[in-house]
Amino acid sequence: MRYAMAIDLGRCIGCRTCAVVCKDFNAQPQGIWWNRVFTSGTPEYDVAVKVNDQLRMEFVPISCQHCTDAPCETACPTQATYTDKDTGTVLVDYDRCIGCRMCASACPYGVRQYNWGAPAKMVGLDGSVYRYGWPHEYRDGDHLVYTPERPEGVMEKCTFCAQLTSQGQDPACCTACPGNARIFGDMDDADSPIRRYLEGKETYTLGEEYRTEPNVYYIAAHGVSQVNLLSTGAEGEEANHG
Amino acid sequence: MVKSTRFIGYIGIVLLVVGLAGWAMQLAGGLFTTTGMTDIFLWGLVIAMFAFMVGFGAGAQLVASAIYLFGKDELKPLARTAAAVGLACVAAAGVAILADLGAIRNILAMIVGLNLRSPLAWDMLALTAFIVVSVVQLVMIARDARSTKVWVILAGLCAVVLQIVEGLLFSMQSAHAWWATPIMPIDFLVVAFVSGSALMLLIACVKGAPQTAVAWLGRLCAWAIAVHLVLALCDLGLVALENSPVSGGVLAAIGTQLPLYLCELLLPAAAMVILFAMGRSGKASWGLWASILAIIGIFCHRLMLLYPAYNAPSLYLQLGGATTGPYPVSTGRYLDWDQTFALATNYVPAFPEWLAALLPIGVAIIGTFVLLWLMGKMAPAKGGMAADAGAAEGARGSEAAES
Ligand code: SF4
Ligand code: SF4
Repeated sequence: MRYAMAIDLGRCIGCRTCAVVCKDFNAQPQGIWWNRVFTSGTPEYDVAVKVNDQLRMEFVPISCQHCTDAPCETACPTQATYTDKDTGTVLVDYDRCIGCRMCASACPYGVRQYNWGAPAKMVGLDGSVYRYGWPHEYRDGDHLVYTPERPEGVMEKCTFCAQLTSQGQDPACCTACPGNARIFGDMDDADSPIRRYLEGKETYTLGEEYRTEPNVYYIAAHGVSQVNLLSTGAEGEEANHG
Repeated sequence: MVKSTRFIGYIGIVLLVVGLAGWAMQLAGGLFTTTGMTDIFLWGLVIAMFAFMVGFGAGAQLVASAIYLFGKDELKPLARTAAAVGLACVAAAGVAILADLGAIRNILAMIVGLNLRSPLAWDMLALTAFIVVSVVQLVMIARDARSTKVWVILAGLCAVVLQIVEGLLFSMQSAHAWWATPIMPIDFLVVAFVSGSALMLLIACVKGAPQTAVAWLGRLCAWAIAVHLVLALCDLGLVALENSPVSGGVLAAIGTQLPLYLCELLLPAAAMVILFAMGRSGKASWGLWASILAIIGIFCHRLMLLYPAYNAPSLYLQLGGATTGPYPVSTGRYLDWDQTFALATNYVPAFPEWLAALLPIGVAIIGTFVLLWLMGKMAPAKGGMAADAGAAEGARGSEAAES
């Protein structure tokens, strides 16, 4: 089995539901975001950029790419970061992590998130602390790969929701996405949802220059359907209607 | 113990205690509240200190090995000190790594199930090998054993391997263009020569070592600086020539730290000029100033290992075949921080980090004293010449320093 995710940017409306659901479902402590959504070409969210004389706004969600040749795994001295042989998912064992941050330093995608201290609890407006997220710890064999109470000083990141996928369910972000932009499945199974979805579609992966062979596949947004009024003026409007 | 030596010992104890207090603050409060690091700027002052100290350690050992290799008998007392300084500084560097870990409670995982593909695992093995060989070497030197030369040279080889591995620790991280150059491991080795010779020059000048020793160390240091500066500029050239968005980010990050970058280049350059001008005269005051300039310059160099690496984004997105721009990263910070997501974070070490960074220096100073004292104890009754020579040299030096 080789778990993978397809993200169809043509369907992504930039609502950031996946980022919020991910944070909530996986009980991510304050300051920690396994998944994030930004607009291509700007550090600000929701801003258009000029590309080939067109104003474009494409939302790109990015979380762990579950690289086949994962630099984080090579860098980790303790094998706390490892690839689950059954699924190809890259996981972190909180019980083995020494908090050296080699892995985060080696990851070109900036998706690893570190517990710089004892994880801060979420505090409500009335000062009360509340719990959220999947309430049980989840172990892959001996490895502690999820617990709602994070130990201090360990690294964490997207697990493809190992606690769900091990039950045959989709990761939380795939279920929650209102645009159905995220499709999960087994790349080794020709009949899996992801394989069927990707059939005939052109995909690309991020940071190809780093040769990490990601297992997250992106489908570029559809072509530009509008002529840029800024550059063509009134004629553009005609062209647009015609 | 003579007055000046005792004074340095007291400084060592103070640094050790203050450093331990800094580390304790970090352990008690967690790295979140006690450091300025983020999920973008992942390693800070303590790791810079680690790279700084390991350079002195390997470098001092290389000085000792060179003295034996070239049969410079008149410099052997100096080699004895250098070998002890080497071991103490490498041990101090090891302490710095430990002090930087966020979950030291899991440290056993470094032994059970060590990942042999990880450069940090190689680093641990290289450090351990160096420490073991160095201990044997110190015993041999102390006992004035016949096989001393073999062990001193073996320890020198361990120092070479150690520095190359340190370089690989950084250069194998292709996510950081500033590190991922073939020059990095070579330059680490050369920087060890600069650091080791500068530190031994400083010690020699303070101790009032013979002019020939000062002159020899001065030449070694000057040439090492020359090679290092050439390599550093080649490194910069390689990045600039790459002319990619990533390399542009590196250059921009260097730009924001320009004063530090200029210090890293100009201070050692000034030291080199002074040392070449000093030549064979071996003037202690010149050597002293040059070594101080070189050491501060190398410290700046170690800080600049981090800024252009971490504050240059590694992931750029494409749209319609064109590169649009870098992609923001979650900083891991909240409440006291104005940016949850950012492209770069302005790293300023927090107060406990400054304290913790003093710990390795304290370990190195106290370690050197303890090792030299132990070596003195181990000296054979009949052949205690080397030890006596060392002690005599020390006494002479202190007198000179006091006058
Ligand atoms: S995206 Fe980063 S954290 Fe995830 S597998 Fe690849 S290198 Fe590791
Ligand atoms: S921080 Fe933890 S997971 Fe990452 S490299 Fe270090 S030990 Fe491995």
